[in-house]
Amino acid sequence: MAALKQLFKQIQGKKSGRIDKKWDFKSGSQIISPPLMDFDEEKDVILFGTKDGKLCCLDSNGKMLWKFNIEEKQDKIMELFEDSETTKSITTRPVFWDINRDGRKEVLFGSDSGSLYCLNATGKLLWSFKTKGPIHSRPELFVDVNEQNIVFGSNDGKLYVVDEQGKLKWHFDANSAVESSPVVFSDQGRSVIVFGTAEGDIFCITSKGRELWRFRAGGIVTAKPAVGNIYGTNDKYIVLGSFDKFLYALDMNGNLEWKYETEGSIRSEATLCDFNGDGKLEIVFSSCDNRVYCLNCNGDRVWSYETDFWVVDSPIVADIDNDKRLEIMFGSYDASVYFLDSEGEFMMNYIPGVSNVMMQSGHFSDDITTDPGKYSAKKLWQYSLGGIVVGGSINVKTKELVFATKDGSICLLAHKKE
Amino acid sequence: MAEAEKYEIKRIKTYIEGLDENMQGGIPDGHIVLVRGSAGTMKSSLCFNILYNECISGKNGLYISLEQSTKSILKHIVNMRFDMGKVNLVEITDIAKLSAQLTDVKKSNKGNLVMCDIGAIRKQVKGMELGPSADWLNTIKNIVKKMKESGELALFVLDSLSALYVLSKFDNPRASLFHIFEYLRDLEVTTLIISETRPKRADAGDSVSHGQFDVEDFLADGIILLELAERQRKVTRELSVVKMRATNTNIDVWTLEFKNGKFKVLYGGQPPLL
Repeated sequence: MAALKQLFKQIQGKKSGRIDKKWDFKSGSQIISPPLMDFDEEKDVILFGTKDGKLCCLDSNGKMLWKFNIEEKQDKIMELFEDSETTKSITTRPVFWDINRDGRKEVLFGSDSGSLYCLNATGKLLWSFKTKGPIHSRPELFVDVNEQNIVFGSNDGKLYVVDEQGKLKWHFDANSAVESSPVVFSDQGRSVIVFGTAEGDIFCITSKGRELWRFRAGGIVTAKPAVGNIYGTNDKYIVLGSFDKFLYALDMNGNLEWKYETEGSIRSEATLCDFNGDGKLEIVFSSCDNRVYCLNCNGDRVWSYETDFWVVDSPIVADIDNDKRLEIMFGSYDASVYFLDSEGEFMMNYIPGVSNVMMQSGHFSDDITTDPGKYSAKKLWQYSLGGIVVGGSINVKTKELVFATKDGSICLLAHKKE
Repeated sequence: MAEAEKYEIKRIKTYIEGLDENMQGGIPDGHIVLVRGSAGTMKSSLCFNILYNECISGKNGLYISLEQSTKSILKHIVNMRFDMGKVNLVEITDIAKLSAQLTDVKKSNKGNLVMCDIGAIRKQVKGMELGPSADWLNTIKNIVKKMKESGELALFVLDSLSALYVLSKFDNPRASLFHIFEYLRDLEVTTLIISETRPKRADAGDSVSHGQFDVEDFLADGIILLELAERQRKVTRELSVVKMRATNTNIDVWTLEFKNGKFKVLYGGQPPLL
């Protein structure tokens, strides 16, 4: 009977199944950064940082594997001048990568203490690198002349590049806090790094630290730039948002291609994906106007979905129910996790050929040139977590999702077939 | 717990004769109250009076002065005939000894009156390179927190909010104030915040804001206003309780007197006898 029901839904184009919570874990500390779900030696792990300076590692069943406490030796006098509640806060998603190429992954993360930390897969400190300001930027790894490098920004106004042992290679003076996570990609055969600053500058520099160009947005940039061939051609474009409420698309020379205005700050990375198979990339991103937007490659709105509060973290795009259609998942500060259909749904305003009989005014030509409707977001499921949803991550193998809430909970959600 | 007990409000007396009985017994526990007035209206003395009397009854109090040195305050206080022998007075002028001094607070069997001289501490750290996120506001928050960790903190007096605006980096003053008030509320410490006003002018009109950023009045649970009134060249101090949440308070303007080491209010709602 259940199988028949599912078949009927499939024929109708409706989604089947539901979202279940597999477990939740109470960390006992506030969480203000999104978690990361990844794997190490075939075992799935969940990594997250807390407001009081702990980096925690859970297994796929929600059991604590290990915990690392940030301990910064500080002069007692200096300690008095720091905000004791946030002085060691971890505000970005950790990185889990084999940094030193020893076959095991390491954990990289920054903290309000001003240090970038590197731990091994069992939570032991390997090295740390100190800057003069809080680190809110997520490190990025890149290889340059066979050397593994780590690039990240600091609120002291610099972009740093260190080697796999945490030794400084060079830094770039951005003269403004760098909270944005940098992106590294290849352009015309060379590696370039793009990142934003608190002054609103979007810099493009070489992998040796030479400035190529900069673009001035109208507000703070904390989002990591997304890079992709949005038109389906060989040309890459850089897409990122700013606190000035705009999402910008720039070409490889830093020229503005287009911009789209929302009603709230854009704080996190946009996701570029081809939802409809036309070879061009759609752009999905969140805004503090409570909405998630989907734009086409020309910067026109395809659909948007409004929640009841800010959406801060990047939406996740994946086919979680294995129906060969992509879904979009994201958490909102309204305490819910939303699951949307990536293509939205086309809502008819009127039925062509029938409605114009009822019209009393207007040109006949309007009837044949005006779209009979528009795309709207299509919500598939909504799951309430009971707390401000800070962000989430997906296990690409199992399609399970982990979300963190500000009150310190981590929970695992999964799609369950009926 | 019976409903009535659940909502019963504990109060801290103002120790101002004639006022507590017009305020249902005093200031509700945990309230954040602005004590506002122009220079010479005895704001600091009034707040100290409350703190001192609470400490005599065995409780702990904290007075943080941002402008005036504790030495100067104490000279003034002794002159007003407050007997400092009745409390355990702890003066904090050396930041390096702060933790040790606050730990000793636990050992005293008298009420502890802790006075923190931020001016002296500022001299101490002058020339030192503080971190980029270093802020005097953090110092105040940390001292209050440490004091609370050392034992029950009944009352905290901040002298003054105007000085804090000067010392702290308020990039977004309204947001920063909101966070300060929220922090104090979370600590559940009854707080008196001294705030300067300019002397009342005849052409000022009826509308009065009790804060530099027009937001302090809304954030505070209570406002006690002190003013100087001149009548036929005689100047009297006046007090009114402009606002006090959870209190059925008499909002008349009172004449404020200090005699024989005690504060008193008189002639509420009536012209004072001349």
